[in-house]
Amino acid sequence: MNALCVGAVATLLIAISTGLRSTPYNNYVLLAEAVLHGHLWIEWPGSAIDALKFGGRYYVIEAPVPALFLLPLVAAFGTHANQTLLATLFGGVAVGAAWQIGTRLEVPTSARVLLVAFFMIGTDLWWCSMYGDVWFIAHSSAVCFTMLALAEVLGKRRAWIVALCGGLAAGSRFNLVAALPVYAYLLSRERSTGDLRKVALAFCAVLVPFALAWVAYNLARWGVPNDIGYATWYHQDQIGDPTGPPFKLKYLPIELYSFFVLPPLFARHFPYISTTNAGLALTWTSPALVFAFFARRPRAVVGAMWAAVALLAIPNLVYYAQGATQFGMRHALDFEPFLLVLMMLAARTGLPVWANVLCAYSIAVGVWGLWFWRTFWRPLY
Amino acid sequence: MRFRIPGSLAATLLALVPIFVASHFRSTTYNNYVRLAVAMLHGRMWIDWPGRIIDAAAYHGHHYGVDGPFPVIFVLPFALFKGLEANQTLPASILGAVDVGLAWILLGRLGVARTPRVWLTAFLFAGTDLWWCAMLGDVWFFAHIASVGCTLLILIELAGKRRGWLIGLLTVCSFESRFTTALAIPIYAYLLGSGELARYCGVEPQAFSARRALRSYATVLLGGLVLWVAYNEAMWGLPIDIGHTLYFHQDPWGRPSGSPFGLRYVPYQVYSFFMQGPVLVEWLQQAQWPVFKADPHGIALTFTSPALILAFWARARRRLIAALWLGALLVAAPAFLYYLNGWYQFGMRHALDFEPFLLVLMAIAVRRSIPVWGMALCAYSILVGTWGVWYWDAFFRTGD
Repeated sequence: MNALCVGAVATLLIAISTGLRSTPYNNYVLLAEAVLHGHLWIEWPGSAIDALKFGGRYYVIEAPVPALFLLPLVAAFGTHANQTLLATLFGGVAVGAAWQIGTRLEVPTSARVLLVAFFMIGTDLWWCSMYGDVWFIAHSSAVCFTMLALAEVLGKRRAWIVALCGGLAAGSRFNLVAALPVYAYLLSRERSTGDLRKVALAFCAVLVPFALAWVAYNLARWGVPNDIGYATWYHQDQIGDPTGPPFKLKYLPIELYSFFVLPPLFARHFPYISTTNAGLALTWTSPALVFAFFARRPRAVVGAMWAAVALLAIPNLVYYAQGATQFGMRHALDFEPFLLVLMMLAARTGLPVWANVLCAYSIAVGVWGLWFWRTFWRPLY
Repeated sequence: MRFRIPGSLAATLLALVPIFVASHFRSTTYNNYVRLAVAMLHGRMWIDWPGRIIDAAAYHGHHYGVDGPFPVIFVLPFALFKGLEANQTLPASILGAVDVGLAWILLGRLGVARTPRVWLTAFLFAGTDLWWCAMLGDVWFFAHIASVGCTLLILIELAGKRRGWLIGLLTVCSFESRFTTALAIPIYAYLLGSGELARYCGVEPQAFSARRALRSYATVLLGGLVLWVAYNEAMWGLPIDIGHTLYFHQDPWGRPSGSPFGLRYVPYQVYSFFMQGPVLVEWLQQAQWPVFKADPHGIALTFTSPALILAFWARARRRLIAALWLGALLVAAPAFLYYLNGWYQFGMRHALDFEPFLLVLMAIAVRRSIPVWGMALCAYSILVGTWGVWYWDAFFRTGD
């Protein structure tokens, strides 16, 4: 079984779970439609979607890459294009890439199957891809390109591909930009000086256009080179502050609570266990992640992966919003690809019984989450 | 000759200080045992009912306490002199500290090395609900403390001389404190007859007769049964205890008929024991002092006592491990079927019924040394327990 088959099966399964519905939170469709009409402001459908009012127009503040992939669909179907379908594809590709990483790390087949299943179902990947809302497709896209970048960095290590995937991931979720130095480090390992120069050149040659495009995108929207979208949104948000950045230490307690404590709720009637729209802590949804702590070798890769996890987790731990509305903790998807690599490194001689149990539990909770959301929270759209 | 304070006494005294500090010598309002003691001293079983503030079942025009009566023994001397003014929290606090000393002795019998012994004793004290129960001393909590003490004594005896009559007597005292512990009777019988625990502790008495020990165990249990029937006759005019069922029918949280135990309560109990979390105090996404608050419905063991997981690492003869797990499960079973999870409470107080069995399993797991992660989990549990005691004193029960 190769990665392509795994990816295709995963895409099919996610697509079935979507019921081929199209999300109403389709900001990327609106952005693609706007781009095709030569502007960046969107036709605002009302306050149901998050869009920032600036200079009398409404703008999408999320990173724009998913909109680029929607351009052909929107060219064909206009604003009726199905954003969820693209999320499905991103999710499936991410799962296929996870399989490829497992193969490259020589993880035994049974452990690989379980870890890939965990990654797909035991995290929020399937859930995000199933709904495809603007925030969720951004995750699916970021995970997809991060997994492709990791597959390459653990394989042939072609710098331009790693940079391209890393850039697309950062263009989907801005904080993924913090992973770029980690990729650079992993690409530079065990190379001659001449080789190193070529790698650096290829890496930068791909990333510089990304940076330039980003500056141009900001100038076109806000008239300044940097992105003020999130900060402005934060100043207007009723749970934000009128000044300052949306990243503040004062949000650390609620984020720690959300990531590690936030428990399910109990109901005295079926289905007995439920969640609020704030989500569920990783402790409940994805305890198998703890297996990442057992990765030991190669030390450089293990260190790099943990550095990426820390770099990506920190912004989420001080951000003012913890990701609600959600099942689980979707922001964790920023660093879970790196944790998956660590789990695979730890599983090269197979999974211990307790890790099997934790994976199975996480998968069971993930399935429950999909069912719960489809049945109670969002049965119709 | 150099005088040396025994470790168990030191542990008791060390526990007594924080219990007293936390209790600030309060006298609990929920003093059913004082009321029962006063009633007994006046030759009756019905209590002077102060109103709905205390749990008591109305029956034939009087009110009766429904909790196991054994702890009343510790209150009788106080009630003799002070009547209804007797302080129930005081004996509860002392007994709570004694439990800690007993745990120290038990762990010593099990051959636990000094460092893990200190960790496990501290864990039982502050990482479970023991400290919290002892510093309040309410009727339900006193029952827990008495039951824990009896169970620890039983386990100490099972790990030593295995005197059947003594184990029988302590078993009666234990289930007359918390009825659920009666389900451990067959486990005690097995450990008494087989000597599995004693053998693990290196005790092999030459002249031990299992048959004789079991006979004396059964005889004392029979005596306890007779005593229990007599108590029920005096309370309800029936040989069986209808107290909890009666209360269930009168409780707005219960039902007008049927049993307080039912499979329908399992989801609620599973949620309570394993999932119910602390509540974040926040406003506009910002944590407010004291960051977390304890829901009076309790907090799951997952959050308060994760060190219990060490029990899963216990390795010894399979029969011994199986017997201890079975003991824990049997005693836990009624709590998982009961209509209430133990609120008002910090943590999950019903777990105190089976935690002594888990303590033995934990001791077997860390007999020679405790891993760093085990120490971390114990330290965490102790910190959470301390926080719970502080939180309760600072917010819920600032007075009595």
